[in-house]
Amino acid sequence: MLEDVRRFVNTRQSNGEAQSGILRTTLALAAACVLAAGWLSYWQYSVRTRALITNTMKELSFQTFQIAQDITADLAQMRELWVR
Amino acid sequence: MGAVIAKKEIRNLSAWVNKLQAFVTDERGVVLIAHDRTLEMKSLPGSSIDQLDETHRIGYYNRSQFDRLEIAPWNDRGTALVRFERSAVPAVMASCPVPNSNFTISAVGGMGGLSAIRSDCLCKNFSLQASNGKDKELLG
Repeated sequence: MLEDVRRFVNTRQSNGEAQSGILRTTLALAAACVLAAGWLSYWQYSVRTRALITNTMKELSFQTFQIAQDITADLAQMRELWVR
Repeated sequence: MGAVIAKKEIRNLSAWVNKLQAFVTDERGVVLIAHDRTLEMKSLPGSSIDQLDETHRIGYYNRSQFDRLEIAPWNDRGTALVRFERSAVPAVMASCPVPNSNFTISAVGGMGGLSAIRSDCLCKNFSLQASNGKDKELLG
C-alpha cells in the first residue's frame, strides 16, 4: 500500500517537472520570436528610411542640376538680347 | 545697366524656383528669390553678407539687416536630414551653382514620408524599444 502511494507521488512529480520544462521552453521560444520580430521590424524601418532619404537627395540633386542648366540657358539668351 | 540686367535676370528666375520648393542665392548667400516669398532677403548660415559693410549692403540690397535662414542638422548623428526654418518635419537639401553666374539654386524636400514608414512599421512600439533608441540615429 505504502509502496503504491510512493510510486503515485513519484509519477506525479516527474510529470510536473516535464510539464514545467515544456512550459519554460515554450516561453523562451515565444520570447525569442517576439524579439526577432521586433528586430526585423526595426531593420526594415531603418533600411526603408535610409533608402527614402537617399532617393529624395538624388532626385533633388538631379532637379536642381536640371534647373541650373535651364537657368543658364535663359540667362545666356537674355544677355545676348541685351547686348544686341 | 548691370543692375537692370541683374534685376531682370532675378525676375526671370521666379518661374524656375516655383517648379520646386527652391530658392536662389547670390554669391554672398542672400536669398534673392524663393518659392516662399518670406525667405527672400534672408541670408544663409555662414554667408559672407556679415563681412560687407553697411554702405555696400544698402547699395546692393537696399537694406542693412538680414534675417538668418534657419538651417540646422536634424540631429547630431551625421544624417543628411535638416531642420529647415523650424519645421516639424525633417527635410533634405540640395544645392547646385548656376553655371556662368553668381547664383546658386537650392531646393528643400520635406521628408513627410518618413512618418508613413514609421507608422507602417510592424510592431512599431516594440521595435522602438528593442532598438534601444537607435531609431534616434535616423530621426533623433
